[in-house]
Amino acid sequence: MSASTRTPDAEGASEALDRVVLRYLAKRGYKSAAGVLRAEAGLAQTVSEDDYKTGMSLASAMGADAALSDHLLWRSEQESDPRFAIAAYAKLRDWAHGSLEKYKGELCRILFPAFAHVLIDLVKRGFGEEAREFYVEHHADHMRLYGEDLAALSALSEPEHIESDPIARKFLENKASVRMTSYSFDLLVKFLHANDLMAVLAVLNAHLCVDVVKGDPSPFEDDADGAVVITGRTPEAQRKFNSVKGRWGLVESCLEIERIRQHKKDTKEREKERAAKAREEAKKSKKKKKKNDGGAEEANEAEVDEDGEGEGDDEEMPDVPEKKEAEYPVAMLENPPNTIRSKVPLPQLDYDAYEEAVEDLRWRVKLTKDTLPTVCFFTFTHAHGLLTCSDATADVKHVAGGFTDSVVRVWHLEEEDEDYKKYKKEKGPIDRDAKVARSIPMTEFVGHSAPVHQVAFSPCGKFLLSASRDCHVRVWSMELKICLCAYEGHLHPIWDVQWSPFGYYFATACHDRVARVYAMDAPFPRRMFVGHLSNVDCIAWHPNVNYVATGSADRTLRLWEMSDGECVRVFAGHAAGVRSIAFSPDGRTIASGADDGRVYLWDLARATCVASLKGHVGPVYSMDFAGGGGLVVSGGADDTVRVWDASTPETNEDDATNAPPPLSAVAKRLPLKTFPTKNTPVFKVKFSRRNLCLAMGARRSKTESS
Amino acid sequence: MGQHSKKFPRTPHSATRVMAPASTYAPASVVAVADTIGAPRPSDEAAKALASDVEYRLRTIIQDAIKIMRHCKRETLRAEDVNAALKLRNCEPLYGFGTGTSSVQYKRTKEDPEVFYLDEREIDVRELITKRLPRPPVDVNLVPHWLAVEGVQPMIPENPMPLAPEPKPLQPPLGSKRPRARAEGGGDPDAGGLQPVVSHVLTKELQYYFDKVTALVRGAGRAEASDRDVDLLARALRSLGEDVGLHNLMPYFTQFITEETTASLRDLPRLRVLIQMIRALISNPDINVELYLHQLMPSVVTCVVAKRLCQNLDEDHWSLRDDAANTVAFVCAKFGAAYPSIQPRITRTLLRALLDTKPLTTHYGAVRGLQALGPKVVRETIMPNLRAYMTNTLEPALEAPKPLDDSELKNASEEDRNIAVAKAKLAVLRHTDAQRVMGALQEAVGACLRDEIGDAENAAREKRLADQLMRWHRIDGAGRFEKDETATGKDAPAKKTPVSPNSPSRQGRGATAKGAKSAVVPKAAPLVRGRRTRGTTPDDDIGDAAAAHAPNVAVAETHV
Repeated sequence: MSASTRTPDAEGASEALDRVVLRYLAKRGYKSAAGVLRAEAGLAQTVSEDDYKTGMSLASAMGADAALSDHLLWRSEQESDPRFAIAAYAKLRDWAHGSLEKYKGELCRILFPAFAHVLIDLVKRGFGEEAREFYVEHHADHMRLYGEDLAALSALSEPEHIESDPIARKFLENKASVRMTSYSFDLLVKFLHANDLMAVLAVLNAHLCVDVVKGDPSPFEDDADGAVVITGRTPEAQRKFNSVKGRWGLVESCLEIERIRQHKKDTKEREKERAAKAREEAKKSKKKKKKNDGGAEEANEAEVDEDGEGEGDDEEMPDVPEKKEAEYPVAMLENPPNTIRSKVPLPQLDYDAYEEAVEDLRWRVKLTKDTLPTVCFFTFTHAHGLLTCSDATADVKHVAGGFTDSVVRVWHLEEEDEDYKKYKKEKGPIDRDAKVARSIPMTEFVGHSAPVHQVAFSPCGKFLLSASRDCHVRVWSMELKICLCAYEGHLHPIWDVQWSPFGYYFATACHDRVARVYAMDAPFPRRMFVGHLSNVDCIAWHPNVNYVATGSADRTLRLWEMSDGECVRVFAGHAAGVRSIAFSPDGRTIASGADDGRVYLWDLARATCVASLKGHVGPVYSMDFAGGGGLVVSGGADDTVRVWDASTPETNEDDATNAPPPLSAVAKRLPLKTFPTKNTPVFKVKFSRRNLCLAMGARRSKTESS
Repeated sequence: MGQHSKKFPRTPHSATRVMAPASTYAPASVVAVADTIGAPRPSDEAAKALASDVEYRLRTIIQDAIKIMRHCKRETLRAEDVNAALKLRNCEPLYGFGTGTSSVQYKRTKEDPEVFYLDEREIDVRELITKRLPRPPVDVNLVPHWLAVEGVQPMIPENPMPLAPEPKPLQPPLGSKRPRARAEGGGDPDAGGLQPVVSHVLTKELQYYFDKVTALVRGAGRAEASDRDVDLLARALRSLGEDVGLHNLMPYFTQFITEETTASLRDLPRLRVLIQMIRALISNPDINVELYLHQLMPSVVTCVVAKRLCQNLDEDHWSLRDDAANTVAFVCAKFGAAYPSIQPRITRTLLRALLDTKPLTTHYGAVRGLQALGPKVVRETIMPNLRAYMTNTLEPALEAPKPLDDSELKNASEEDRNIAVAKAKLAVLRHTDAQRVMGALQEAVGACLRDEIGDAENAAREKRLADQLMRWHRIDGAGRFEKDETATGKDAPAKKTPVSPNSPSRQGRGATAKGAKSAVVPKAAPLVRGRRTRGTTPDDDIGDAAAAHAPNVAVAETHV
């Protein structure tokens, strides 16, 4: 309608106006009208596209009503009185808070970027006092969601600080992306126009990417789900590379696949044997024609045994003692994922470790919503304030702890200490229930010169990695009990280190905002993943070793391709720094836990959040998926181990094209079960290869807890 | 080391409060520091610039310290974190603030309260050397235990107590205890005790309403209640009986009623109000009373059969019993269908009260209660036991008490005389009680018999009779006992209450509250006379009907 009325006018107007109208039409989807106009005005298609790329970055970045950006272009940023900006912000704030409930959540979301930029702008222009007053007056609104940023912003007082302060730079150099429904956006623009709030408009123009989506705002907005996160990329760009097709399958040589293959082979063999036996029996019965009750009984037993396999075969079990299957349901990946060819050369596990691992998987308990895991808790006594991290081997033979006194201590659960050996020699082995003090033998690994922030056992259990604040990663041999190598390359504290699922490679998360990947054979990094806007706090490997996920204090979760070092996914939405990451064993889902206790499950293929797990009330220090998937376990500072349902809704490949739903629309889940510990924060949770859940932590001393 | 003094303009420790919004490091502090280290005094401009920069540096360092604290998985900031943050920025750490010296004390100077200094003790080296060395810290150890076995947390000392402390329920302001919220407290013990406890939340309005109503019930239940109170109470009762949305208050009302009943068992007016309140609540169609019946019924039954319900023995507790009995019947009628067990249970209770050796007041209540439950119940319960009851219990009590023998008393001492007088009074009282019970029995049996005859004519008459009965019942609790009082009234010590012969029967109503002893007995005579003179009024029918259909009673009467 509007297009038809405007088209004749446009003929006589200037080229600039034509462009404006064209963009408007394009945005509104009036393609034919735009085509007509273009033809009539004699503008080449390329002109309008150039327009997008060059001076009008805002228009494309905002992906919004072009009329706004054009309007803004008419006005240059006013050099104005600081009070004007303050008043403008106050006005905007009052309006946003007074708006209809339905749109309030969305409108309030832009307040923090506006606040931050007004503040930075004031400081930059030398109005330190005014900036402080402004901060005092308005900071309370944002305290809950942006406490960390506020703390940094509150410190700014001199224009020179802006130049060097990382948070200020983050705000100035990146655009915050805000998601809004079109109606709310219209409301906002109209309000800003009507009240002539040029100062705020200028700020929003320069530093905000409004991602306008269709539809109504979701009625049950949880504002923690809508925190504005600066990812350093425009929503368009983010969407673009979040839509990059990943190879999320598992590699052929992966243990899980091997397990499935073996299972198939076993069942086939068994069937063959069964068939053979049946034939024999048929012969016998022909000869004897006697009772076959015994046979029926056996068949029944077999049925019970086979229940967990989900195969539904009702034939009897063969008597092959060395290949005996577990009597309980065994965990396996339910729908075997597609396999991919690894772009990264993969090491081979050595024969013994491999055999052991496969045997363990054969005995792995199946865990579901109804059969919750057994949790073994390792309490580090007299260690609160000393212990910073811990890990256990997959076969639960060793438990390691990293301490602030720079020592890594490893407890050997299967060895017997000297006292006990003597005791045993004299009095024989003690009863399991006997109350005889039995300390676990322990080895101290001394080598670091600063607190150790992470320890990790290699998948084969022969090596131990430790990352320390002294900027070194050390690898220790569990057989020789010495340090084999210290890896250089960091200049800042290392917060996290993790082995790849096949060993050999490991990745580090560093305070300098870079994640690095090392191979064991060289002391320098093989890959560096640069892009986070704050220090990288945690790191995890995709089960196929081709991807590394990092979580950062900038509240984003990023996924990096190992082969070329590119970032392939950015997940934003957490309202606090990401503290722990875990991949599901089928490689399709990733879980991230944050400092505020929220855990999100993200679908990798669709690049969307699929579930929000609510329950923790403090930082989530560690998470792990159960072998075979289905459950995720998390442990945190609130002294609890929580078990969650990790099933993801069925995904349609076609869905990938649709816009992802906003975080607030994501299904919320409560923990299936919560296991409180006795005054012990949970530093690490991990499933052993047989699906025993291990949890570790240092008990608080009484003075600390009070 | 020289004394390191600092000047903090507002709070001494605000530097550690990261979120402190306003500028905390004032230019004056810069000047103070410059003075202490012997640097030339900076100009105001320079001090200001330095102060704001120092504050910025401090804040960034503290932020880094917090980051390091988080990575050490702790929740309290320590001096070592600050030192680590300083090291991170290639600054010299602050020595002497290790882990062990957590309690650093700053003191104010006497001259300027805003200047602080570190209070350091002087240490004698010799003492330090001769002191015994401290014990080494306990070694770190690893202790495994089962936190959960197949999803269930075992109850072992290593695990925390399974039940989370139940949040304290809110106390209603007027001191009455709240019942525990009906939602399950504590949650599933298997859930590890951290299941949120659903608490019963009342809106402000409801709380206010509750307070007002309970205050009114307390206030109007007093003898000296003003007319306004009575009026308000009537309104409140109407509101209780009709208003919607009171269901949330039910547990509180129930609790209130139960406690009030037990607390004021001798407070007749209050009990009366409470019974009215129960009636109102039960008749409210929007309240699910069923859930609370088991708590309410004891109170009502108490008001029926309690041994004593008044302060003075001569108060008219009879009408309260009647009211309560009717309430019981009402409940049985209303909820009998939904809870078939309720009527048998009440019947059993009442029958036991009647047949046990209980005071006559209790017997009276039991009879009234059974009667209110209907003629069928009477037939089932009272009739089989009637003769035994009459001969064993009631008849001895019905014998006229002996008048005081003055001659005997003359010889007796003062004390004995008092005792004798009291005994005589008690005997009279017992006698009147017995008469009451007799009357109640007659009525109950009469109703039962009428029901049995049950022809149409009788039914119609009966209806009339019942109406009449009810009217009298309402008019005067004493009016129903003319039968036996005609026989016994003359024997009663007439001197006690000089009632004028022509005083209308209605007067009795006012008198009942004052004293049953004075009101009941002497009033009977004029009443009877009045009715007799009226000739063929339904009164006669009552008597006739009772006489005709209750041979047992007639026998008893003649016997008396």
